Amino acid sequence: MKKPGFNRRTFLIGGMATSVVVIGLEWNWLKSLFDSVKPGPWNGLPVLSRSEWHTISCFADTVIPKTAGPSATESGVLQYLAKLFSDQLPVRRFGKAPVPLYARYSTYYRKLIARLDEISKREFGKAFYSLQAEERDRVLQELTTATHGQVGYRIVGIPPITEASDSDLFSLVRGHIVQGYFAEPKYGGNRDYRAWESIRHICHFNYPKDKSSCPPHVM
Amino acid sequence: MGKQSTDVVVVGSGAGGGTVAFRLAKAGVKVVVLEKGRPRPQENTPEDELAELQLERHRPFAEDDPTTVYSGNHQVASASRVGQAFYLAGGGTVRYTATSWRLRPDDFRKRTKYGAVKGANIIDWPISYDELEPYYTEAELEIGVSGMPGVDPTEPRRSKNVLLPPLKEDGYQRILSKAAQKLGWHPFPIPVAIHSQPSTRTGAAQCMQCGWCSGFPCLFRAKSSVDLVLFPRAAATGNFTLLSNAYATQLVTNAKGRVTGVEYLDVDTGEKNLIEAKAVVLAASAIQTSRLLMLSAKSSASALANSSGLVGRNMMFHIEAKGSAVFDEDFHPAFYKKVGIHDFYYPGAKDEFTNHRSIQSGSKAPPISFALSKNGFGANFIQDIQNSFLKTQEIQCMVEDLPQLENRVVLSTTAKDPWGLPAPEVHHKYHEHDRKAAIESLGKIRMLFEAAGAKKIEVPEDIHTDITGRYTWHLMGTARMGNDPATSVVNRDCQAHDVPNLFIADGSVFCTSAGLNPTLTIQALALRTADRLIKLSKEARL
Repeated sequence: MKKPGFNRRTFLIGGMATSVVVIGLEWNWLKSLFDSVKPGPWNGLPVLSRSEWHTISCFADTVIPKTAGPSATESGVLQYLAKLFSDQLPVRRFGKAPVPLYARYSTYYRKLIARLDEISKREFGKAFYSLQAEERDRVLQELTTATHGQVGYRIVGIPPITEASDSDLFSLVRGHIVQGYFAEPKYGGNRDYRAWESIRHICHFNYPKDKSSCPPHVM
Repeated sequence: MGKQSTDVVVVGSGAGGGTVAFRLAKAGVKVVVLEKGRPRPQENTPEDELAELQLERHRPFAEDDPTTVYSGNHQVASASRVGQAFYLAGGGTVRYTATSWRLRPDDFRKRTKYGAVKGANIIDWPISYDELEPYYTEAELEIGVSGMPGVDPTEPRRSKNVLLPPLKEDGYQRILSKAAQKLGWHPFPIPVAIHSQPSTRTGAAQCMQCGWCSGFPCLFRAKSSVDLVLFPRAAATGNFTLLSNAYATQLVTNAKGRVTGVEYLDVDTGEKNLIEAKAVVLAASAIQTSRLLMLSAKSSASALANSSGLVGRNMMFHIEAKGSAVFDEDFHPAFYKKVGIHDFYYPGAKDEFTNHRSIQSGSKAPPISFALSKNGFGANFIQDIQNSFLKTQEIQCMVEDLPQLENRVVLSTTAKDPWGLPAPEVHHKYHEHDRKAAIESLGKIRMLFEAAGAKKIEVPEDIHTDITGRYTWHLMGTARMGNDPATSVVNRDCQAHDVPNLFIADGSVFCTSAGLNPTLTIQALALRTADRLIKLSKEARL
């Protein structure tokens, strides 16, 4: 008598169904991310795969976890990164067709992800996105023994990918996360101005809520 | 190739180029200004840190129009924004802090005062403060500068006070001034090219004290950027034309050694154009001006107008010694300079340096820049930002960068601009005196914070090892002025010794950098240079 409920056929059907669900989840996950972004010169490609986006989202929340303010992903930082990769930020073109931002950055993101996973697997036997928060902290600590520099206000350009150190990679992506977190909400992050509220940056011209505690010139 | 002609072509529309063009147009000289950037957007958009400071929407990324940087023989950046002036009509004045100093008489006679300094190439300027004084007064009047005469202990003579009243005092200014007085120092409001009251002369509006000055175009049109206060009046004469998106690539010369025009590219279409002129004024910043002279070299010569061999040499920046501290009070954004302290402008008898320096309250960083100035990640990182953003303030010291022959600009043999032309390569190393002066200044900054009752004081013990660490946009030297053609590139009228109808009207002509922001001096010199051109024009000698 066959055991009910589980055989090769049900295994295969189950596997296919799971795959469909995973693919569906993947599509929904990416769709929801990119629905917030207008179609752009990225040709509809999400640039990074789902698992790569997953790793970056875990990295973002390790850089800015939830505290009195929102975490990076709660604040919409991934939406900011999606805009960055979809080449829809106000950057100056000068001269003959400079390389679009998504093509410029994606290799650095992939290299960072590879390094995160490499350290994670060596130390904990799992991919970075499978780690607990404390374990992720330890991976980032190992990644960033040197000072990070300041990628945000970039006097010095990004080094070529072949020369980019762990610190360069960390600094680049951390810079984008901080940009998205504290930029105006129209760029995707700082959802509902909660990041600004967490640092009490509430006297900016564009802050739409109560400014009664601000000096008269910004009222 | 498109072709047109005019009386004078000015390359660059910033502090120097914009001012010289204004004066020429008012005097009836037809002038065309070539600007590789665009006019600022007309819409009144509230300040946007991401677009203005992070992405720098008005100029390309470092990798797209690079400057390579060396410290000694060590390359510190294969692509940087060093010397990448602001790609906007109005140049750096659109986004500067508007600090508007007159140099001190001793800045013009530094060699006489201190003698030779080993390893440095210090000379006296060929003009004195007294010769430039009327032009300082005129520059202050024409652009609109707010300040308080008679309170800076090193303030030079003024033939006439044309300053607008100082801007309103704010909380940080009060705290810092009180602390300085406690130390026996003499604080004063820094003169700034920001209108404390509206001006019918300049057309600027009154400052609303919003604080978004450093790094941002003025939302209220109160900052005296040349595109706001000079261009409309120049355009009204009918003699002024601004060509934006026009990237000058070469000066054209004839067999008699005179310049006959400027070739430029339309940066959007790549179309080549030529504009012919009776005279050319270079005002593209100390790096790009010397680069353009190098790109215009005839055959084996290293640069046009370079019989002295000094084009590109003696490049100077300022050293920005800087610290920050956390106070009990909240400070809402106020990103402009407020308090100056010049009790230590000149070195004391025991100091082992000859640099001049100016202590200035800093510009508070907006949120993204503030967060990125902190290392780390995680809860501690973000909570530190949450707790300190509104309570943090800065003090900086503008330290003179001594001129050195080997601090120089050359054409890169590897890096290119987007059209394949050699990119600039900057070689710069601090002089021993520079470092000593900066370290001593950091000590003064710490003293001031302590006297002000700051809680968490972060002042480094030393300066960064190269200019990319604490970069100022103050570009000076590379075509110094002088009376002797063997030891200078331009004469006392900023006219090239070798090419009589070629003039320079930017920081390139500076002989020393002083310890003060250079913009007002660039503008005063530009007015003086314009006078020389006008005289030549009237005598039909252009």
